[in-house]
Amino acid sequence: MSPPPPKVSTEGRLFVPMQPAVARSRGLEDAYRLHYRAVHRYLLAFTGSHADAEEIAADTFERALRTWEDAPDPALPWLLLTARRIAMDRWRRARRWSRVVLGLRSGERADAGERQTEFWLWFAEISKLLTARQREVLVLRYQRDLTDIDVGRIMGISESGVRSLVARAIDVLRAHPEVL
Amino acid sequence: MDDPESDVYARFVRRFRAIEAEVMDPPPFTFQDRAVPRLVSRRRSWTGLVAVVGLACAVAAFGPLIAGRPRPGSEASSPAQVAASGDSSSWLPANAPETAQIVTVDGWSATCLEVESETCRRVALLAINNLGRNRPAGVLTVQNRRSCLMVPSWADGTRCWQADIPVGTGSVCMVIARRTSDGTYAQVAGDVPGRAHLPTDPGGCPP
Repeated sequence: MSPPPPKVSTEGRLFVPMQPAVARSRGLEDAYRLHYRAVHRYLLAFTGSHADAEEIAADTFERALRTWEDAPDPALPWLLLTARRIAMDRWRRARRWSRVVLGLRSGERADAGERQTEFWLWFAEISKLLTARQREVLVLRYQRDLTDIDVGRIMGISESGVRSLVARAIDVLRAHPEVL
Repeated sequence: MDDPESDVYARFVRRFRAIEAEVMDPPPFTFQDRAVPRLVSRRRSWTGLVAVVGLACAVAAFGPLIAGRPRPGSEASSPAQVAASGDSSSWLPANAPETAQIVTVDGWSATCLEVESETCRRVALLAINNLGRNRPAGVLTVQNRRSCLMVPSWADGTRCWQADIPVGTGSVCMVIARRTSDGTYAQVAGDVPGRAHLPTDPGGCPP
């Protein structure tokens, strides 16, 4: 069924045509404007820290701008993959340093205090049930623009691997209805 | 295998959607000579670390001498404050909430950034009616705009809002202001359903 015709009135609407040069340079800025929240959201869930998410998002777009000519279209999976690599590099570096300097357990993350909100309390409960990869695949599935192939590329697994990871995660959640 | 759109997944998505209140809007973007100054300045380096350690030592040594002096400035601590930093104090309304909030409108989830909930609801309703009416549900973002230069004479140019709806690989957006005559909300710029009749318009909202 085709969508119903728009009921929008055009009364008083004013459009501002853009200059050609401005329109040409919009690629980079558009990607930044359109995808920043998606990258930040993924990093928030991935790192659990506002500070880390903000900083890695900035690094991601800085790196993207340096190699923008090579960016595929659509750019979002590529940006998320870049963000994931930067986050993993930082995590490995931090883990190495924490072992050498502080003697902390590996994988221990700083809690910046933002987990006190209702969302983070819920996410902490979810994190006790799901593995990091199960959590990640659900978070990436939340981004509707991504296909299973995109999710697989970002996580370094096959398309069927994505589907089975999702199925296992859903099985776990189904067994714990109290968290949903 | 479970369909990701199953009830369990749908319930997960409903809970996870609360993260939208924590997600930041993009900081100001400046494209100059293949670099983004604000982003570049965030990078940490060993020289920066040495400088910080040196500064810390200096403060420890001369702390008593400088104690009691007021700090020259303080950093924004919440995402909302970060988003509102800079020259935003003049364009944000006095009663705008300091943090983002989510309101539900016609099955859609609207993330309101620095916009009071009732205004956000009305703006979101108009945006959904104009740009998202072929979808039963979805998400959108409503925020104050710094510039309302495109607002026509029949509308109140002192305040306007921007609504963004993610679609496909991008998003559509519209700018909304209130009519001076009756206070109702109306679209003044941005995307329209189908752009075929606007060949010179590249789409999107004016900067």
